Amino acid sequence: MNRLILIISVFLLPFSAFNEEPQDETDYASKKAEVFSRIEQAASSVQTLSGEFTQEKHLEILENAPISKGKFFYKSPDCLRWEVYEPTSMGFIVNGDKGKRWRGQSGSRQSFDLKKEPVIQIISGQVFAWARADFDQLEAGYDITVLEENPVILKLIPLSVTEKKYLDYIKLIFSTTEDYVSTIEIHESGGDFTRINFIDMAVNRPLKEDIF
Amino acid sequence: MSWFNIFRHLYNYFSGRRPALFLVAAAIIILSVVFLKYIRLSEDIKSMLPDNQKEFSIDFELLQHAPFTRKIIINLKDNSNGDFTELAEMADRLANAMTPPLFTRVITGPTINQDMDIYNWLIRNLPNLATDNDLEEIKAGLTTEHIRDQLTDDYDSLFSPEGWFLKDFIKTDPLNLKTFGLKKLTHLNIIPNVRLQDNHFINADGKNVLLIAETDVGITDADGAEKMLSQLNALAEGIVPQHVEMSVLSSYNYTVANAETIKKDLFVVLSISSLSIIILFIFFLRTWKALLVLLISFSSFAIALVSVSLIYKTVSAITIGFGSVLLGLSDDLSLHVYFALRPGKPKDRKHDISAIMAEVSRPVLFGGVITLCAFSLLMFSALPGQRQLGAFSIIGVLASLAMSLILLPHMMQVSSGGKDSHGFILKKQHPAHPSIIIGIWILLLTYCAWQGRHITFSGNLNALNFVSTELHGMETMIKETWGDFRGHAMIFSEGEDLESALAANDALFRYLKQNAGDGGIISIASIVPSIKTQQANQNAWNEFWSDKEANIRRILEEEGKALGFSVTAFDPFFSNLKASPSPILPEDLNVSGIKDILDSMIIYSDEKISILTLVPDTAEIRALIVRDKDSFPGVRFVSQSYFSEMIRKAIGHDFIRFITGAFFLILILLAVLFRDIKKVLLSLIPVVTGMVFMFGVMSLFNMPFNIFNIISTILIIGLGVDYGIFMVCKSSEDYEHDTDTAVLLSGLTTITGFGALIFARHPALHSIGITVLLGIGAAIPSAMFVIPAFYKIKNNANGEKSGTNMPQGKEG
Repeated sequence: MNRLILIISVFLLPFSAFNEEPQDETDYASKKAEVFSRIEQAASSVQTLSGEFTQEKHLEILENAPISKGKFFYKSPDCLRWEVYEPTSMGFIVNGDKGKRWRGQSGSRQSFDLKKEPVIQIISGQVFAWARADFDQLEAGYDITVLEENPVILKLIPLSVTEKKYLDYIKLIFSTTEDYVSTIEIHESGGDFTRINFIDMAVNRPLKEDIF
Repeated sequence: MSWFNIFRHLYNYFSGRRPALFLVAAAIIILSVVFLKYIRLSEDIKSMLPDNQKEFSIDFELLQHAPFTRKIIINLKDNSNGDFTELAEMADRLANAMTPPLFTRVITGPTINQDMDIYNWLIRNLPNLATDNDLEEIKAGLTTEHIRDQLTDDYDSLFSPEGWFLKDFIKTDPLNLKTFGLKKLTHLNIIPNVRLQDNHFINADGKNVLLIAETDVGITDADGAEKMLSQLNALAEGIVPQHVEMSVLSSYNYTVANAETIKKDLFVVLSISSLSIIILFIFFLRTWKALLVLLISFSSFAIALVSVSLIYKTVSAITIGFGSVLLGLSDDLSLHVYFALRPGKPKDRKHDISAIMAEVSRPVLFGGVITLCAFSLLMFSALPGQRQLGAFSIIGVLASLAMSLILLPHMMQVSSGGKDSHGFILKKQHPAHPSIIIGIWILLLTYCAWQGRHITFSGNLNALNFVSTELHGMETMIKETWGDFRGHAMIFSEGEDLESALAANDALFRYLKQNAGDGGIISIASIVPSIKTQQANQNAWNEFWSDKEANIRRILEEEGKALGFSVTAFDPFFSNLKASPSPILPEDLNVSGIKDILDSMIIYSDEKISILTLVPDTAEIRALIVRDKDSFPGVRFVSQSYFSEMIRKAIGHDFIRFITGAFFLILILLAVLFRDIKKVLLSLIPVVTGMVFMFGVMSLFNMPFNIFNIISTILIIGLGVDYGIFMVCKSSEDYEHDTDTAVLLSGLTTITGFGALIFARHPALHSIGITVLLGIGAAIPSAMFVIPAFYKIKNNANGEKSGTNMPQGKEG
């Protein structure tokens, strides 16, 4: 347990400085608005995103932090493919309000209605909101703090009591071009966290229709 | 004939005392009319349930405990492409607006909003809930291979979108034992198609949300129900927008619909029958003196109704609806007297009123007595509503008889004089082709008898409820959207206290699972067994794990380590294994979102506690319970279909008793009257024709025979025999009082009385109308044409035999 606390403390240490909001609230508000505006502008030109990702799981129940690898495809406004190929094979596709999911190499694809898959609905909703840089929607669910401006790092603290029970905060690190999120960290209440790094992301590369 | 001289003497007696006679009659009639407004009307269908067997009333009371009987189901359907959040917020606003005193509680979802609580609760309480069968299944999954597979699955799931959510379950339940608990929850799912989203009941497509409201308004309280439903509609007007469709389904909708329909029907039926009778009288009688006959009809109705209200606490709306029938019925007797004494009769005929009364009293009295006897059979019915109808009809016919034979002659005498119209009188004709008439009659009778063999009996009381198209549409829509959650059969496990009731419920649940399978059983036994059962489960659980724990720990550590799990990853699981959870009590489940289900499944009464189990309403399950009922003391099966079946049997039994009794009585009375077997048989022609025709046509159009058709049958028998007596008297004896016209007019007035019931929207009233219309509709022509046709043939044969021409219409 001590080890766990140490890990968490060490991990959280670098963020503690970011948590302090600027002294001048007006200044901060204008900077925040400016950051949001920059991201909105960059996001407005994004039609597709594609690339690979790695997912690190820093969990108490795991001896080490396993890294999974996968592929990511997004097409505006509401198509998403999230595919893990290592260490296991699984993934899901969202196309509008419908979707498919699979597990295992030979796992059959199961169609689903997005409304019936709350977890995928939340994940895809987040992806779509960030891809559109829809800050109105995002701020309705989270208290957003700008931790860094270059590169842009945002911290999102959930407003919902239910979500707070499980989720401490989410950290987003934007690419230098600010048109996509390059790293996501999901920090849970107990100290566990998941880090997703997006690698070799291509913006507006044409995507085959059949991948969604 | 001498016995009937009593009416000659009565006439003579009152001739000198007319003012006193009129005064007494007027007082009775006026008092009856005044008291009419104090009559308490009841639309309660319970009056049509047999009360001679305690089983019926017990079952009827138990049926009221069905989980949704006293609840108001409100469905909000979004017809636009709006999102669920908007619909859910609307449901919450409506629920908040529905406040006491009319609404005591409204729920839009379970009382808690985290499914996690249920999962954790299940994992913690598995020792209390796991049965021997569950332990057998768990044991089968404790091999190294199975555990490895499960851990691999657990590990892989950490990388899935739900990984963050599943992590805690992997710690506390690496072997995925919660599936055994989840299976138990399926037995609590009363509404098949419901799912939960944001703590709201929603359907599969997410376009419908469900609100369940409770009220203190009594189910049969039509005024209260109307007020409550109006209030709900008023609230919805301000909250529910145009693109959202609100549907409300509850027992209260039926109460209001039935009460409104019956009230409207009574107005329509009584208006139409009164008006049509007046029109018929004007056409046939063409004199204001016809009002005297009408006065007798309406007075009989008022006297009968007031008398019944003095005997019974409330008067069934069906009885009042039957008043229109009585109007048509009671004028039969007075019309015969009227035609015998009618104004404008040829002066050359003997016009001694006292002598005519002695003569006419014979068929009138016999007709009346036979009708009375037929109705008196209703007094032996097991249905209180039918007994009330019997009393109503007997009093009505008695009043009509008394006024027709005693009052009417004096009223006509007083009003005589002046220029009176002869009115419409049928010419005295004899059938030209009697053989053809009889041939057609036999053919029709044979065809109807052939058709009538398929007649079916229905005991479904719901079919006698008025269900509007709108209400039927709502029923269908809610059934399609949420599944059939209102049509279950119910099994009650009773006990003196909660523990004994739960123990009986446990035994029943085990039996049902063994013999009928898991499907469709809604029971709290899977989640709240008796304390005794829970203790036995816990002992078995502890014993089960005591010799397995070390081995399972070793396998989990080894296999877990190979996958990357930490050594302490599954400590919470082993802690749970060692924990001895307290027995589950119904009140503990209040915090776990199942409170509402428990509240509707545990019924507390003064003397006992009953636990409700819902099962599919099938003959197989009913047979199972009946077969082994001795093994389950305190267990009682109740279902709508079984209840209907019992009613159906009671109806069938009543019907056979009535028919047999009525025919027996009538045969005796006819034998006493005519003392001639041929006349007796001829008198029965209208009643037999009416009955066979009614059965044939009902069968042809697949109309089942219900409670109200029995009443109709009694009427057909009573009236049909009247027509038979009048026509046989007319055709065979020296009896010339315009009987054809009297039979035709009284038949037509009866038909208009019944015909008016066809305009009733209430199935019960409509049912009486349509069947009796068929019966009387066939009885009249058979009386008017078939009986004279037989006499014509007989007279012709006699004429040929004797070589002389006998006078027509007279018997030697």
